[in-house]
Amino acid sequence: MHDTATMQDTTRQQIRAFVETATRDASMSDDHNFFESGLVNSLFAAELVAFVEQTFGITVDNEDLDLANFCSVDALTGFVARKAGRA
Amino acid sequence: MASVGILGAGVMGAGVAEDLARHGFAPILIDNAATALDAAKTGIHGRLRAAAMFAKTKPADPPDAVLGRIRFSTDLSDLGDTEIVIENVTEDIGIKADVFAQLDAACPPDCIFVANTSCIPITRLGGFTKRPAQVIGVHFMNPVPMKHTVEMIPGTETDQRTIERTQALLTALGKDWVMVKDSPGFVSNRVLMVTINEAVRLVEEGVADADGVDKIFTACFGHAMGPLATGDLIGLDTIRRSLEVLLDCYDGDPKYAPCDLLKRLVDEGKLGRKTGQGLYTYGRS
Repeated sequence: MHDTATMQDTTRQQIRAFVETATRDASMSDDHNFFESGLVNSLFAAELVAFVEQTFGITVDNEDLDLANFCSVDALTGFVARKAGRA
Repeated sequence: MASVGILGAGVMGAGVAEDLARHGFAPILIDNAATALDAAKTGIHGRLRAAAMFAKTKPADPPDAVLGRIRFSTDLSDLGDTEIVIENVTEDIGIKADVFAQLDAACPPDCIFVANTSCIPITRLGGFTKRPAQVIGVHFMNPVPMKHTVEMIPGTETDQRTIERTQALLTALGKDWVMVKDSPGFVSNRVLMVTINEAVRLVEEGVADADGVDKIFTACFGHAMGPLATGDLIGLDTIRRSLEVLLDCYDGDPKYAPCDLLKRLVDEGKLGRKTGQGLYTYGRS
């Protein structure tokens, strides 16, 4: 049986693997804002939304479409946890 | 607002449909493959959502409302009321010849045809119709909604009214244009396709890896993207087809011959960003 912390660790690892592949940067910290640093563009944002929906079975609603939810590994992990908790 | 039809739901056709819908048009997007239409719908929805994420102020219309303006159809006869058709089918002269003849039969006599071709001369495309004066080339750039300047190419028979109607449409989309004469590859792809091919050849020869080649262009020359990332964005299949069109149009001049690595990547289905793998690997779930 998984506790919440373990599930969040797994989520974080999956998100991190996706972001590392797309940015080709394995050294960024989990709180690094990859949109602000120009590492990725809006095409990546579209892929990121599709990735979290498909991987974690959540629906990203219009009001969720905020850079604050998607801009770093930390932000994404928190967003997925909140959405999954609500479901 | 003009009633606009878009033929071909690949990367470019979907981008043109998205841009029109974002500017209040209600276009119809036609493709003979229902799967291509489904993929276009998913792609447009994703990009509209990403655009909403980046918007400084929340857009007036939510992504679903903008997507809802686009009609998707597999039936060419749905173009019976259109004033302007933008053609974006595969870069292959045989396919374009068939498509332009079909458009000529399906569309009203006053309708103009805008060819969004990479390399094929516009005059040649006009010759596949009975209305060559109403055929013009507009080379949109990818991603269409984010690229505000296009290359405009009147054929030798294109009339002034067609040019003006095309300019009015582009103005409504907030786009500027550079007018060039008709010639295979025009200006953009005569230079770009050879550049991308040579950049792939450098990787093939081991002179530098993909990151190294692109960094020369981004960090040294100040380009926004290197030639290999650009090739992956356009689609390596389109790069190969465009080179083959140039090779044919310029009587087999070997400078346009696709290099072995480019051909191999296309044969392996590694077409770039749209398949998740090309010169680079992209994030896919």
